[in-house]
Amino acid sequence: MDRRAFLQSPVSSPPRAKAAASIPKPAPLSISAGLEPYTTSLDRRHLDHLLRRVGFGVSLEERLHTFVGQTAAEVVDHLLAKALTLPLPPPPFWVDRAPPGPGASESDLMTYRTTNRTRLTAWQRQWLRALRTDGLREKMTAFWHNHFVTEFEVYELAPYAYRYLTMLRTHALGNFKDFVRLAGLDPAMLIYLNGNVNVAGAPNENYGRELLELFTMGPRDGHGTENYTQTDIVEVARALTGWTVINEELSVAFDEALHDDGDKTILGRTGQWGYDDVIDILFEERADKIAEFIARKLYREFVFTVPDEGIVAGLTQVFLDNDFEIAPVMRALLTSAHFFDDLIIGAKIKSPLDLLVGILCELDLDPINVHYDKIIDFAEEAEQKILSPPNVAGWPGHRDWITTKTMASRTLNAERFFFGLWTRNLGSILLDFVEKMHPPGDPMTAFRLPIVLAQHLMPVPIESLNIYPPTDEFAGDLITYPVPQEILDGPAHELDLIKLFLIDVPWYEWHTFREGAGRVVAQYIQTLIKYPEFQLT
Amino acid sequence: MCDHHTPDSPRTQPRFGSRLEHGQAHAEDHARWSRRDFLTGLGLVTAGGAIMLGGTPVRAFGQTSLLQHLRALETDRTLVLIQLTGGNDGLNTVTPRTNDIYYRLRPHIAIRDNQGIPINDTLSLHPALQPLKATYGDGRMAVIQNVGRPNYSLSHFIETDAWLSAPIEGDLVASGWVGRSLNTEFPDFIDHPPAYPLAVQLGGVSSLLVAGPESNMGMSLASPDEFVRLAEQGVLYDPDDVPATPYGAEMSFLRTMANDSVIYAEAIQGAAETGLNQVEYPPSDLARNLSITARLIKGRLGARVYHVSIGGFDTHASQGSVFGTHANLLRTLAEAVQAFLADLDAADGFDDVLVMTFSEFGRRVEQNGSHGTDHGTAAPMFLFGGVTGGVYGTDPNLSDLDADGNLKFEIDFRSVYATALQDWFGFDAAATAGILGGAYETLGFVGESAPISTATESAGVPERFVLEQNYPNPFNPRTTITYALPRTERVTIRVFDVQGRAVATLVDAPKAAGRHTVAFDASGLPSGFYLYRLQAGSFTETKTMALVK
Repeated sequence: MDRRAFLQSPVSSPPRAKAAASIPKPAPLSISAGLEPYTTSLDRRHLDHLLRRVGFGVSLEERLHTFVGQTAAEVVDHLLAKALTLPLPPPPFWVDRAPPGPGASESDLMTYRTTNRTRLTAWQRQWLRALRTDGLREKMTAFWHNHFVTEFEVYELAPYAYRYLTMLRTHALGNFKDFVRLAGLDPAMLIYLNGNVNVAGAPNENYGRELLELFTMGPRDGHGTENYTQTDIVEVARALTGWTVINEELSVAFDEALHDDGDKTILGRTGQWGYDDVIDILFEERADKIAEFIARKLYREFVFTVPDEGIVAGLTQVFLDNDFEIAPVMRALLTSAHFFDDLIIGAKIKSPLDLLVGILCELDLDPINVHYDKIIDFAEEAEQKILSPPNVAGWPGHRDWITTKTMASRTLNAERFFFGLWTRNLGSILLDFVEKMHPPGDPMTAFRLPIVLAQHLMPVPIESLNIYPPTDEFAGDLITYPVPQEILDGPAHELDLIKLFLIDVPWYEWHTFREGAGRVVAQYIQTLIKYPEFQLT
Repeated sequence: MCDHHTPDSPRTQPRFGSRLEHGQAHAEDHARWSRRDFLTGLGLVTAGGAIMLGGTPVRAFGQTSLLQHLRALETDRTLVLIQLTGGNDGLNTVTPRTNDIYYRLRPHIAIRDNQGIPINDTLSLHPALQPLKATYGDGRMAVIQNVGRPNYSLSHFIETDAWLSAPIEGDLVASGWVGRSLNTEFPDFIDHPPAYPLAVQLGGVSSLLVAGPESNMGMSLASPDEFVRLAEQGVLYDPDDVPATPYGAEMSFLRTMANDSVIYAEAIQGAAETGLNQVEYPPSDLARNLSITARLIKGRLGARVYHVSIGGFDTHASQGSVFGTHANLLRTLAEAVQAFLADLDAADGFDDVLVMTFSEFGRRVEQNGSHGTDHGTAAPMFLFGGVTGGVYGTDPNLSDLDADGNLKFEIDFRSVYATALQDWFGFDAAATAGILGGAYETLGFVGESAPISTATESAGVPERFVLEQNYPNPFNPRTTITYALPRTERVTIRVFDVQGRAVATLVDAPKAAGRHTVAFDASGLPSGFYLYRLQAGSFTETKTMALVK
């Protein structure tokens, strides 16, 4: 859809509560640490931070085994290598099933339409499963989905959704220049931004404008200097003419007859430019602007909503030095002392997908399809409709995710989503999980586990939570089995969490081998999920 | 939303499901949006929001009276569950005072025949239950003897879960019996949740009780502080008590937004404003939670079930006799319940409260080596309030114990629940059996049974509840309101002014399935917008009308 049409339409975002307006905007960070490597071997908190930001949550296996004691460079190299070598998911059987051509019966059309919707859901579900298991590559894929935006509602065909996502995956950590070249010829994109109707004599500027404004360099650089003119856009649009999409064949074709082969002047260079020439010119004439624009966007996604321009400049240079390879930029960022500064840990608001897929990742849960379908619904309620961002600019993210409405639905649905997983089976799955987290033989497990679990799920220090524990005494026969003095003398917030965990269960009765013990764990997790801080990452 | 209700959207292709011709998909679309509307409508129950009814922002009139009045109509019979955690010693709670075996097996802890409060020829209440003596005498306390469950385990966990859940065989979802009953009464809870909580849990109790098949059907106030904070400030989280760091700033932001969106915050706040305690409560946690319960009931919160607990009943050692640990627990219970009942009595119109105690098990008949009692089985349950007082069931048979030396139960705990569901709440027998996973005999302890709601569906009746727009509208001074019922339901239709004051009750009676019309004469009322609200069973709908004189 045309972004401007969207912005001019009467659709408006829901009103914010007054209270929100009084909250100061996020301030720029004052972190002295730069891009120099963070060399300390990662402790739990810093490893969790890294794994949360580059994936959808901390898996226990990674924390306890794969990465224990490693440095940031070792972990990031491992993650990058995995992301770059991971095979693509097998294509679904319907990738080549084209819609019925002209003259098809109404019932054939309706059948295809219905099947098409089912296929989209299956494909979304497949992606959610990948988000859960494939960490960095899929986090990058989600990032690029929000960069090279298309909306399923516009291109409508599930096979195109497959191709689009596969393109994003393939180049998620590849060469950005190649990426841009391919993105513009993707059928979903050609349809979405009208490239398929951009023809000689009747140019459509839609894609040309977004190519410059949103996909590569932005209208202005960091100093406010304009990167291009309206004339450049018109000329780019002319150069891009001639590409069409043939739905009945699910193919993209270049039609010489529809291409404007006259001279165009783009960013000061004149010639009979075509599609590839445009990409070359942009990257030759505005290399530093493009590198800076993307570096800033990566910073905002992976570090903090207010960019640190010093870090952005450093990343820009890495991008340029590596001829627009994305992986080295990510490596520089994710291994930097800046990235591991305590101030930014937990300072980012989860996207709805971060929130919901994160529940699966962080609790090692791999549920059945119906639960993934719930994620699709719940994410949409939280205003992240998978494969259909609100407009070509994508989801703005961070605090823009949160209104009183979405805050309520995020909290309610996160709880409800977890609740939906709460079958009798979940208890034993969670017990296996917590046994990995804390040695089951420890007689103090009932006191230690709630602390470890809260630290696992909360990105912020647990002493900063507002906890409302039951005020009643610990349950049980405390004369025969007094709560150990070291626990009673421990920090107040830890005692609160222990009470919240045990509720009405005597501490000496709670062991992972007791039937029903899983219910206690599930209930505690359900409570933690409702804390506002669980929305952070 | 759906495109057919609004001018064409700028999209070239309609979203699938957004057009009427998409049939089922459209209906699902509506259901989803309805839920979303609810969430949007949280503005209705949040501090900062304003809802528009008939173009008039309700909040502009201040107070929360509208919601309260709407809720008041829905207040029905209430059940208050008091969980005695740890396994209450039933034999010392209701003592078989003439039974020699009792005295022989409990030489150090038995209550002597002349020490207790006799309630019939063979039984006494523990002397610490003295505060409830008058309640028993007034016929407002029932004792159900020998309640237990088959295949018991003696484990706190398993037994507690069983009592909270009354699990249905083969049911994979861990739901609670109260959760299932609320889900039966409010089957569209997820899509159309009421603006008030259906169940409130106070203090340290498990949410298993109120777990429905699909979601938690209740709300939890884990501590009195949480209630006080909600009641006084309408917020749960402190946006200022955060670290001075970037993540602290984001915490502050999220807490502010969370405070603005806490479901039921306004419902709780409103009920706490009008519901006041009129007696002094003793200083125990249980009494404090019951005092909050009384406030919420008197404030007409509308919750069907409250769940509180008192712990410490796991008296393995030195449990005492007339005095001591167990006596103190029973006294705490008795004083709190007595105060609670007196508090409800102090105001008119709160007779419809039934209080039920339960514990995961009773204790061993024979005392153990440390002057305490080990885990047992059957025990008595107490019911207060809307009961026919007296003792139900036979005295415990101390000469026929099981291999562990425990009592054999005589009344299945689900019979007690079935009685509460069927006689107190008016579920029909089939619904009750569905909730409890089988038919259980009812015990007749409920004083005045609720009318059984019956589902009578026949051809030609409306398929769903409908409240139509009044006609004519605007009107002066007479108008008619038409509504349709798919089954027989108790129906109330009331009219409110925009400040939430009820100005007329047009219908308050059971009505048969079909279409009905009722006239409204507003001769005595000033011009303005009015709301009229239909409640029929769990269905409620409110519409606006304009009186122009």
